[in-house]
Formats: sequence, structure tokens, C-alpha cells
Amino acid sequence: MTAAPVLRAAAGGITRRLVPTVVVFVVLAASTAAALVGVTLLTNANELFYNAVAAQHGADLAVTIDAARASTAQLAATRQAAGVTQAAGPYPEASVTLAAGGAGGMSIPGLSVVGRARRSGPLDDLTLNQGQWATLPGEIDLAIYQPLHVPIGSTVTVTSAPGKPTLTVVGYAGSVVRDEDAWVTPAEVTALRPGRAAGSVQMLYTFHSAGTGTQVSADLAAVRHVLPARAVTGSVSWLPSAGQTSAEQSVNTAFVIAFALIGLALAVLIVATVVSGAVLAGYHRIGVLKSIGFTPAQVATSYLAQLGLPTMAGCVAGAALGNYWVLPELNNSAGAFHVAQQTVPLWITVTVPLGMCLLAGLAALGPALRAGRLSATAALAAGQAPRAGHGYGAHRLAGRLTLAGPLARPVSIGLAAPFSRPARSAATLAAIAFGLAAVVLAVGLDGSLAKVNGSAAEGAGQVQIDPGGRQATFTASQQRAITATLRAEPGTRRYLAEADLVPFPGARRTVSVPRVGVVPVTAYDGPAGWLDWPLVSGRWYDRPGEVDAASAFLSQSGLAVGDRVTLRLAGRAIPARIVGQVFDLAGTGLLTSWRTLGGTAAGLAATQYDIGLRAGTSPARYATALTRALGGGVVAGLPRSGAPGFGLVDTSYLRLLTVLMTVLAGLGVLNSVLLVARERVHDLGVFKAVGMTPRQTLAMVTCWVVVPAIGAALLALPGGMLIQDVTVRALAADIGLPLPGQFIHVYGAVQLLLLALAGLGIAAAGALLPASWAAAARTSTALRAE
Amino acid sequence: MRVVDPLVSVSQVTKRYPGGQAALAELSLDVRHGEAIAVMGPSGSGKSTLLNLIAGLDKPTSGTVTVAGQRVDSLTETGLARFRRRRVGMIFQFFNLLDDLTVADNVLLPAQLAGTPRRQARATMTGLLDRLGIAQHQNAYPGRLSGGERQRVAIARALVNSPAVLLADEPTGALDSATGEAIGQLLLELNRGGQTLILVTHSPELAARYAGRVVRLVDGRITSDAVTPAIPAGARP
Repeated sequence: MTAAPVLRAAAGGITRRLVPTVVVFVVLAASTAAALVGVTLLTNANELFYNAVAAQHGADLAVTIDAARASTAQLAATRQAAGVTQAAGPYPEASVTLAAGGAGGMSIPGLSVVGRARRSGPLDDLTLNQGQWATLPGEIDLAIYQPLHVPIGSTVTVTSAPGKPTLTVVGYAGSVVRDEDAWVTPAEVTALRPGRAAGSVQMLYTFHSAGTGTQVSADLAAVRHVLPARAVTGSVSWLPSAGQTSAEQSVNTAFVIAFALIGLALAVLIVATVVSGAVLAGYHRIGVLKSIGFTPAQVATSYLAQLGLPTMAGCVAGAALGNYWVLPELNNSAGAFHVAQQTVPLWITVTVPLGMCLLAGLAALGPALRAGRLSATAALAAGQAPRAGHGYGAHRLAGRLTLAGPLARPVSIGLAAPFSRPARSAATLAAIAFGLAAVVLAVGLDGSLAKVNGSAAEGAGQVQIDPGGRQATFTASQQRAITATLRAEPGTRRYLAEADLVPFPGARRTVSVPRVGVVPVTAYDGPAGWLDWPLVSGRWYDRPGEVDAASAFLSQSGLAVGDRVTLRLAGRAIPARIVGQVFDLAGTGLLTSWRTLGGTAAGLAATQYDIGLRAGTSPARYATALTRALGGGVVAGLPRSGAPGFGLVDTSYLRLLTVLMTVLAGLGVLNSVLLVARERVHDLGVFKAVGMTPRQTLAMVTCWVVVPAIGAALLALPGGMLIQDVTVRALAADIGLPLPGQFIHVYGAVQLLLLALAGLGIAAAGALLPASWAAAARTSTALRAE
Repeated sequence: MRVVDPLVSVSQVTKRYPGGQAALAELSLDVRHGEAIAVMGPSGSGKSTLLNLIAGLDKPTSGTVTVAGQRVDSLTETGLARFRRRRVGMIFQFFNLLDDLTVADNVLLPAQLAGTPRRQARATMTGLLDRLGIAQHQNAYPGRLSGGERQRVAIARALVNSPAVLLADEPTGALDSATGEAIGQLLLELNRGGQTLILVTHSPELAARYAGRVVRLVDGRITSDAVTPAIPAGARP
């Protein structure tokens, strides 16, 4: 085959069809970038955390053991417990409350401080992110993921320890499985324990099998088995850490991949449309090429070559764009896992654009081969008119609608036009459908994320009164005063006291569950259904003896809704039935009625008040007024919002990808309408010759896309909702939290209507340029066009 | 003596396409009401360009074109579209019918674009199809009609808004001789009924038989403009 004439023919095709060439370039660049980001994040999410755990010898389980109940020999015996593959410790441990800037500063209770002489060890190598390792008495390293952040060199006060000692922060460190919050020298730990609190030690273990909650529970049971009863006072598994630290990657990956797949489909569709359009619009040219001696292979090659340049350029540009786009995300992940800076693996940078080129080539092959197979005479004789019979019925109906009155003639002709070219209309429909599905997905994800992020504010009333600090409860006189103030305060609709029985060192009341241990329990003094806790399954409790459980409690305990459970409070066994599963991202325990636990007789005291407001009352203004009315340092405030895991989703990605897919869809429509306009340029000339004004032409051509847009909306709305459903459920599964239905099904009727209109908007935007071109075309030129 | 304004007045018109010679060079031509003129000349002489300028399909590089008292050369695109609807009807060599519209819809289209009341438009369309002998085809599609029938549909479409001037570009060029004769006769009858007709043709015979005046163009200039000798009635078809 002689290459020169083929290349010249291809170059001629490119210059004659500049807009489709630019469309192919942009579409390939955008979809290659999206695919590269998706594949990179997928690889990153799957491997990075596990690599980090392996590299840093992460423990599967950190167990806190009461040293007064377990001897050194018994601790050593746990190394041989069933399933244990490696163990480290014992390391002295204390649960403390740290305050920044002295005893009056910000206070964080329940932090686990471990005495470690060295950062490295047989298990759980610690990474030093800033400063240095604590080697002297009075020094402390804080974990980078705990909430107290003070400058290195400043002091923190251990307010829970006798004498409230101060420690100098010398560095920030991290454990890949996040089983500790701070580290000091082993000797320091003793001084940090509350006066009468028993000494605790931490043991670290890895096991043969620790991949699921059930396996970790079994592993913990095996360790308990070799220790005296009640020796184990706490445990931290690697699973929540895996869930939380990989959440960002997993979550981002799920939706980036969904968008990348839509982008790929759009790219294939548009490339195929462009080439087949070039073939259809170039029948006469094909005939000329063949009549002067081009072989079928040369014709096919010239059409493939027309696409080759913009395709290759688009893929290369897309690879560069994807790298630029994903690198900050990779480096964030590297920082989170304390591993070296990441780059996009070379194989991804090479194979993704190559794959996209191949995909585009395959999409172009069919139409190009068809061009090659056309006989010269057939190609020369072939007209641009639609195949006889297509769309006649639609045009007849449109004509009647005009005669009957409701539609202007240009509009009715435009509405009927897609039926004359069903294949082209199907391509337009698909382009709009893919773009609209992307928008539906993005809106749905945004809605779900907003619901999840807002869930922390649910189950809490609109305003709360909190004594401050998790250990404090309101005294009886305070409770009476608060009740009186609430009754007197205008804007109060309803309120209720809750008692949070949270396990922390020195807690007066804790609830334990057999085979699970101490669990946090929230008990409400009155009907609490109005707090609207989101329910994953079951129902809200409505009588004493019924409890609702957080998802984390159910997964840790192996219990399910409907199961019976025995609660132990102050030595008393309380039978209860689990009647519902609540969505509580931060919670790991149970919710029940005050009366279930025995009320004030059982020592319950209010730790918080939840207040519902009358309609029209501003929560912020109410809280300010209430604080003023309460006095005595009691503060009313708004519930906290924000949720771990889902909150890590980078919504800028979401918006960028949505815009990208919308632009791609618009380009797909532009390309389709442009091809139809070129095919029908002669008809456009006739319309104008018989008196169609530019405005009427614009309306007619824009209406070409209305029917495909309606079809696209009918497909894309349920399709996008389905993808959103699958994606959100996948995200929830990644984090290990099943979601309530209302967090997934977030689309309202008005929103769906607006989304359908968005499809029409995408279609109209894509059609506007070709329609303007058609409206501005000179009539005599159009009439002369073949 | 009363001077009657010409229906079509082309004055000192030059039309030059980008990068090419002048298709028309300072050409002037007047056409009176009810006249039937044939514009003849070899390929590239500017016949179709002249017709396009009169029809408002194109604009002159210089000079003026006035049709029924309206300056065509200074109209906007929208103004030109309205002018075409109302003032001129065009017939093309290859009919230029819209294949996916029925005969009735093709004929109705200019009236609908012009906003003619529906009932009136339908009545005009039905009358024209009757008059042109194609009423039985009003629900057919152009692809199913013969060449002569298609040209009759095109003529009906050109006449539906009662234009001041009928422009025909090689109206028999794509037809066999018998059908061409029939279409020529039809145009002649229309002219006899008072319809002003400007006909572009290669055929001296067609020009001689159906036009009262023949204008010859060569290289964009008029080389002759003559009234055709009266053809004996018996010699006419």
C-alpha cells in the first residue's frame, strides 16, 4: 500500500472536518484522564493500606489487660493462644484525659497512652511524623490522628492523673492501625494512672485469620480464654482503622470508577459516531477516491488515519491530565499511611492511553471497513437523503399537529426529524443519556453524603445542653433548674434528658454485655422517637426492655435485630430485646429507655438534654438565650455534625467529574447534530429557500434533539439512580456501615424533574452551535451542497 | 405617458465570489408585470447567480435588486426569508422537495412558515393540486412520484403564497422530453394567467416556445435581450 496518498486523503479529511476532529481530541483526553484516575485510585486503595500494615508490622489486635488480674506468666501464655502468630508486649498503658494549655484548656478524655521505649518492635512499628521520640521523663509523643493538636515544645496537662502532671510534647507519631493515642517512656505511665486505678498493660497480637469482625472476635475470645476472668478490659482491632484510613481511597475510587466507566462509554460512542458520520457524509468522496484507484484497504486506512491523529493526541493529553489530577490525591494517601511519596505506576500511564487508543480504533474499525467495502458507483450514487420510509409516520403526525394548531411548523418538523435517521438519533440519545446519568449519579452521591454527614445531628434534638466533658453528669438540683428553665423558655417544644453510660476510667456506671464487654449505652428519660434516629432496620423501641443497637455493636457482638441480649448494670442482669438497628457512625453501643436500666434508682443521671424547638425558632438564637437563662456555666449548643469515612469524600472530584461528563455529553450531542446538519444541509437550504427565517431554522434544528433528550431522560434517570444506589451501597460496605434507606433514596420528585430538564439542557447546549451554523448558512450555498 | 415601474429591477449588479472572477458584471435588467423571460447562456455565464439574486438567496457584491418595490439586496437574512415567502416562488431542476414530507405538507410548508391561516392554506393547497392534476397524490411522498409529478408539486409549492414572480431554474432539465413539454405548457398557462415568470434554461427551444423575451448572458454580462418572435399558435404544444 502506498502511504502518501492515503495520508494526504486522511489529512484532507481532517481539515474538512475540523469540529469532529476537535471533538474526538477533547473526548479522548477527558475519558483517558478519568480512566487513569480511576485505575490509579483503585490500585492505590487496594494496596496502599495493606502494604503499609505489612511494612509497619501492624497488629491485628491490641488488648488492654488489667495487670492486677493477670500475672506475667499468664500474659506470656497468651502468645500461645489459639490462632496467635506473633505477639508483642506487655507495654504499660493508661487511659488519661489530656488538656492543652493547662487544666483549663481544651480537654480530651479517654486517650490511650502507652509506654514504649522504642518506636520499632516485633509488632506495630511507629512512624515519627514530626519532632522526636520521647526518651526522657516528662516527654510525650502524640498520635497525629487524635484530636488534640498543640505545637511541639508546648505542654499538655494530664488532668485525670493525681497532681495533674504536665508533659512536654516532643513529637507527633502514628500507628498504622491506630491502636494508641500517645506514647511516653514506660516509667512515665505509672505516674499518669488515676490514683486508685489498677495498672493496665497492652498486648499486641497478629493471628492466622483476622480479616473480618467475626474472626477478630474469635481471636479475642482465644486470648481471653487463657487469661483470668475480667482481665481483658478493652481491645482495639485493626479493622476500624482499615475502614477509616482506607475510606477516602475506597470512597473516591468507587465514584471515580463509576464516572470513568461512563466516560469510556461516551468516548467509544462519540468516536464511533464521528467515524460513521464521516463515512456517511463522505460517500461521494469515497466514490471519488475509489474511482481514481484507491483500494478498499486504502480507503479504510484513510478513514482510520483521520481519527488516528486526534485520538493519539487526546490519549496522550489525557494521560498527562490524569497524572496531574491524581498526584495530589496519591500524596495525601501516602501521608495518611506514612509511606513514601507515590507516583502513578508507569504501567498505568502507558496502558490506559494505549487501551483508550485501542478502544477508539475498534470503535472506528466498523465504519472504516464499511467505507472500504462500498463500490465506487454505489458511493458516487448514494445520496444523503434518509432511507425511504423512515420517519414518515412521525412527520405525518407532526404535520397534523401543526394543522391542529398546537405546534409551529419548524418545531413540529424538528420534533419529527429524529425518526428519519434512527441510528444517528440513537447516538444522540446515548450521548445525552450517559451525560445525564453522570449528573444524576453526582447529585445522588452528593445527597447521600449530605445525609450521612448530617446524621451526626440526628438523634440529638435541635439544641443540646451538655455539662461539658464526658465524665460530668448534671446534679439533681441542676436537673430541676434546667427543667424549669426549659419550660419557661419560649421556643421550647419538647425536651428530654439522656444518660450516657460511657465506658471510661473511673466511670461510676457502665453497662456490659456478655461476650462483648463494656458497651456505651444511651438511655432516654421519656419517649425519644421524635429524635428521629435513622434506622437501618427494625423499629425504634417503644417500651422498657427494648433496645436499639448501633451497627458497630451488632457487627462486634454477632447479634441481630430480634435477638435477646442481657445487659449488666451494677451487678444486675437486665433482659432486653434488640428491636432496631440505628445508623450511628460514631456509636458502638445501645439506645434504650431510662426505665429499661432502672432509672434514677439504678443511679442514672442526666448527662445531656435534647431539645426540640417550635416551628420558626432559630436554634442558634435559642441556644444563646438558653445559655444566658441557665447560667452557672451550663452551656446550650447545636449538635455537632460531620461523619468519619464518608466525610472524607472529596466533593471537588465529584463536581469536576460531573462537569467533565456533562461537557462530554454536550460534545457528543454537538457531534451528532453537526453530522445530521451536514447530511441535511441541502434540506436546510430548501427550508430556507421557501422562507424559513434564521430563527425558525434555529428552533427547528434545536428541536431535533428534543425527542432523543426525552428518551435519554427516561433511560438515564432510572439508570443513574441505579448506579447511585449501587455506588452508595458499595461505599457503605467499604466502611462497614449499612445505610438506612432514606440515605440512599435521596431523589425527590422536583429534583427528578429538574434532572430531566438538565438532560434537555445538555441536549440544547450541544445542539445550539450546529443550529446556529445552520441558521447562518447561506441559502444558495446550502442548496448547492451535496 | 404613464411609466409603470418594473416588477423586477436589477441595476448595475456585480457579484463576485471569493477568489474568483465576477459571476455578474454590472448587469442591469428590468422585468415587467406579467412578462415571461428566459435567461440563457453557457455554463458559468451567471444565469443561476442572477436568479439567486432576484430570489434573495444570495446578495450582490454591488448594485441593487428590487422586486415588487422592495430592495432585496439590503435585507437581513430574516428579511430575505420573509421576502422569499411572499414575493417569489422558486422551481428547481431537481425539484428540491423534502422527501420525508407528504406532497400536501411540502406544498403547505411556505404558507405555514408565512403564518397563513390554516383553513386558507389548505384551501389554496387543494386548489393548486387540483389545478396541476396531482390532487390524488396529496398524501403520497415525493419519492413515490414521477419526475413530472414532482415538478408539479414543486410548482404548487412555489405558488402557494401567490408570489409576484415565479423563478424557474432549468425546470425541465431533469425531465424526459414529453414531461418537459407538459411542464413548459403549464408554465406558459400560468404566465397567460398573469404570473410573471423568469426562466433559466439551456434550451433555446424551450425559451423560444414559452418565453416572450430572451436574455442571453456570457461571462456575467447581457449580450442580447430580445423579444421572441411570435410563435404560430399551431406550432405551440
